[in-house]
Amino acid sequence: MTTPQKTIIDCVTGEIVTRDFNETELTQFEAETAQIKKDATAKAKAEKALADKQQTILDRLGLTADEFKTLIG
Amino acid sequence: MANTQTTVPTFIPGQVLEASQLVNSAATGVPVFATTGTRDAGFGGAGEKALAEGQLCYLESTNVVQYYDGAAWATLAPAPAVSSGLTLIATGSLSGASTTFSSAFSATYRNYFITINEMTCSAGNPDMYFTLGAATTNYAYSQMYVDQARAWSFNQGSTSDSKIIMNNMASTDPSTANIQIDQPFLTNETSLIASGLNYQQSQWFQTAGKHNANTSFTSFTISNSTGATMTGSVAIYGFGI
Repeated sequence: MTTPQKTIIDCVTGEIVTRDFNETELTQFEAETAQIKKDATAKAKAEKALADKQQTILDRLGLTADEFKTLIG
Repeated sequence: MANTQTTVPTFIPGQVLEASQLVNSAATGVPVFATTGTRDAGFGGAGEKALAEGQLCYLESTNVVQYYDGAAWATLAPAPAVSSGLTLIATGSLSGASTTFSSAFSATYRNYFITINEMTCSAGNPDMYFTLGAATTNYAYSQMYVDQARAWSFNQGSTSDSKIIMNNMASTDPSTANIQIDQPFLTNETSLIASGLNYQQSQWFQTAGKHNANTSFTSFTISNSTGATMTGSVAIYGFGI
């Protein structure tokens, strides 16, 4: 992956500097990205577990998901 | 000084008008006074013009032109120092994966307003991040957004985070965000309220957040969750105290 770039604009002088992320910024960015992936995986897992549980109940009742929606609609 | 006068004379029918009487009064045009004190003393006395609405004067003590509105003197020019309203501090463009606006906050203003227009990113719909100075801790925020295309609303937030999630960026239709920041330069907690719109996703955002530590900031940074390259126009305004 290409190193992300950072732009710094001085609001007083108007000077603009563009450079690669430094080590601290890169570490922070990678930590954030890893946490986002971890959260997304956990969320997907939880959603699948809930869907499986709902399907188990529907199977026990002998209803499809659409039929259940009609009942509670 | 050459034009200074202490009286604005009046004339009566039949009076002989001496050249010396015109030197200051008529030749100068606008009467010139040393101070507000001599200005006030220059009208209304014996042989002096009665002060009335529309009268102009120039004050040497403060180098201003004033007019009398019938009740009080007001400064006409140069424009009085701005004591209220919005003042444009700087403009700039989002660039790269992260853009910092340094020296944006100072003792001149207490609160600030930031507009971000035509905001896009190179790919996907990453979250837009907002941080203050070099702080990567002590942020808290609550965000609600409405997704018109999917007909649902959602909320998220954090009581301890490394940034404030402000908005959601789009790679095609530009997004927009307006942020009001309260007292970032003062050494206390900094809070903000923001509204944003992602046209591509038909999403509207409302965010309230703060930095919980007593810290003085002079800069802020806009970045995003995926490191996508950003574009957009930023304007920073200071609220007059």
